[in-house]
Amino acid sequence: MWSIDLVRRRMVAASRGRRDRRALVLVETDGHGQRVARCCARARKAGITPGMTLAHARALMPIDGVRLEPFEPERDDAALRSLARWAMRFSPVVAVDPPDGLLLDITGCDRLFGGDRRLVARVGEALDRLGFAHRVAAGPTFGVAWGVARFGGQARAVVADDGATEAMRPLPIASLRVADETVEALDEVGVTRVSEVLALPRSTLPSRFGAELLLRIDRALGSAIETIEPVRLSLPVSVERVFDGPATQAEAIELAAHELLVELCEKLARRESGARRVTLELDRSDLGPIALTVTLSRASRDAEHLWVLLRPRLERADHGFGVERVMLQAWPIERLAHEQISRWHEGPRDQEAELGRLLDTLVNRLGQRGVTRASVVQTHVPERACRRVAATGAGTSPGVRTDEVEAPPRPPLLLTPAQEVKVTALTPDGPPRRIGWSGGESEVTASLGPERIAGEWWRRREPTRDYFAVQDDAGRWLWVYHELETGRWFLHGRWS
Amino acid sequence: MRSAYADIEGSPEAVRQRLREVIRRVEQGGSEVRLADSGVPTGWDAVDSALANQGAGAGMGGLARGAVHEWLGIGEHDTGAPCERGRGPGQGWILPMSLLMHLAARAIRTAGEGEGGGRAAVWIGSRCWPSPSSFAGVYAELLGRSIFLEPRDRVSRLWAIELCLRSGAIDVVVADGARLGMAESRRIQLAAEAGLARGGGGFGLLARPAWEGGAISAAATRWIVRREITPGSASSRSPPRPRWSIELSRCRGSASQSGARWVLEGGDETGIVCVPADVVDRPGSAADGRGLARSA
Repeated sequence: MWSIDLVRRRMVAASRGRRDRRALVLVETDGHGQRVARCCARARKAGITPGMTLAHARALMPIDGVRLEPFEPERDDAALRSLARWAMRFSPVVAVDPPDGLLLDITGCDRLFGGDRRLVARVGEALDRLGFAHRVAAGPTFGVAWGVARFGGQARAVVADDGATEAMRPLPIASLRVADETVEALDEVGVTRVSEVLALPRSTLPSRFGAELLLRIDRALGSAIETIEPVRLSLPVSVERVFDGPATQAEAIELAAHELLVELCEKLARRESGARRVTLELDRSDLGPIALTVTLSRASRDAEHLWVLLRPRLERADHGFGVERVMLQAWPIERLAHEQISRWHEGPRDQEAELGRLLDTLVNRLGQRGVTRASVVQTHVPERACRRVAATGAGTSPGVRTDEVEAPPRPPLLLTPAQEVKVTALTPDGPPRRIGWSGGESEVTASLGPERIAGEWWRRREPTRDYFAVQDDAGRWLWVYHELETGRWFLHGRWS
Repeated sequence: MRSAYADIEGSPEAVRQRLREVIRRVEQGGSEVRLADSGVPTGWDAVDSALANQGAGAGMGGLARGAVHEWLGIGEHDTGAPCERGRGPGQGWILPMSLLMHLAARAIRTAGEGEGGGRAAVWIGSRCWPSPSSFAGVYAELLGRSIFLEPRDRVSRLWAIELCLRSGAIDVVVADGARLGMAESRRIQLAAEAGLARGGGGFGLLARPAWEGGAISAAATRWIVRREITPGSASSRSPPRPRWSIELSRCRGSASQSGARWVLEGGDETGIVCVPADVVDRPGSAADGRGLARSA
């Protein structure tokens, strides 16, 4: 249900709170076509199950009653990770259990919440508020909690320290977290419950069903130790300075900010990381604090570079009646390895870093929209043939596609929008002979074409165009087109 | 360093010239001297050989790196035609976009050999952004390395030009160079020299309006571009072949050659601008009677 809940949350956010009442099915595409990856409870009621082909699912439900969305496991994993960080309010040791589980080590934490029963209730309520379907169980081992949460009868359960075996007995084999093949192998010999596995002679299990089964049983019942890999919370790196009373001198504030920046970079260097965003906060007396933020295209802990970016912001900042506190924070941060200092700064690596610094400086002054790269879009309609994307990384950034640019040649100067012109042609579909615009008129001496570009059928009422490249008597090469439906002529570009 | 000196050859005068250039760079404290990279060959034989015979201003083998080159756009007096408007009535101009693309692509190609990494071309001012769909074939690499900047005003445009030229990661800067004073032009030229010393290209191409031919500047060369009429009627198979004549109106360090003219043609099969076939073998007859393209 995790993926379904996430998609629903995104849908609600996108439609500003309006709820889509249709059933939801997440679709994945594999070599054999489209399949149902996850589905909501209503779809399940209609008989749709994960793994079924999409065609089959469509046959089971009316077409307008289902909403199809792509299944994005990576996105769901990332969301699970952030949920794990959120869950650190209940326990310092939280691990993700993909695809849709979280494991919390609550040893000692239950006291803080007034017992494990209370803790389970609190976790459940919090998840309810977030709007995620969930089942919560606490137990003496991770294995028991996992099995009871997924296969137990209640949505919230607590297993007593000595009740592990009793709790696991009635559950199906799958609750032991074993591979699907093991479940099937046991099913073939008629073993479907944990109690029945426990009744089998222990020494025969590994040879018949693999070593994993025994390990899982031991872990669930507490005779083998299980460790988990907890997620780590990375905290922002920050430094601050408090003045003795409000400082009004710009130089003093600037000096403090610069010192803090050097300090911050030293801190980052000790952690072998670099900042992706740096925020400078000024607490002003009698006025609210202001935050100056600099976003970087690549992680950096170069104080000189960061100062170049921050300083103009700081100079323009309004100090009000004086600044009481300066705080500098780096967040998010990224790992950035130490570098050997060398005398000769040459080579492609340095250049990429230098380009990154240059782009940061440019973006800082011209804005994200003022610094772009062009990406080619596959369409025949000339005015839509390219898209501007933000220039961030160095070299050829991943979002930019250039390989599809191919002939026929296009003029380097494109007029947007195209300019309507008066054209005299000898035949209705023929090349133009004279072109006239508001200021004058010119004779066509040579022409190439026509090249027909049809409107894209999925955009309604887009006319078909016949393009001609013509040279006029002044030597100008112009790109004109004739709209077949309306008979009008437009000037669309120039070779210059 | 072997590769850096491998290409010193030719007449004793040329060798002396190159060595002088090397010494100048070393004295300026450049981190590395790259002889092979010091010029951007234009690919137009007659132009290249004329530039090779020039003084230090033009550098060796084409347009000098670490310098700014001004290109005066094509004047347009017919106000109805689409062009950039000037202040006066009937005053318009259009950028020699194909020539700028050609030179930018050559600057990228001659610099990037074997280095890879983050080299880039920057186009400053939306007026001089070529339409991306025109980067076909040979220009595909150029498009992949192009960054387009749109400064809000003249001051930030100058700031961006200077910053990019000064950077060691940029090979070529193509910029809208309208309304530049002598002081600003000097700053830009110094930035280009600093850029070359830092390992970048420091190669600036400024597009200036046709009527700014009288403005003084510190640029290494100044070129005037005019439109020429392509002779004959085009067959329906070939791409459009616009023609221009370019005139070297100023070249720092030598006054003798200024006024030389060459005819160029765009749109051959590969999209590159070249000297048209029917002009190559014709004896010169241009302004001063010596500059028209000859087979070199």
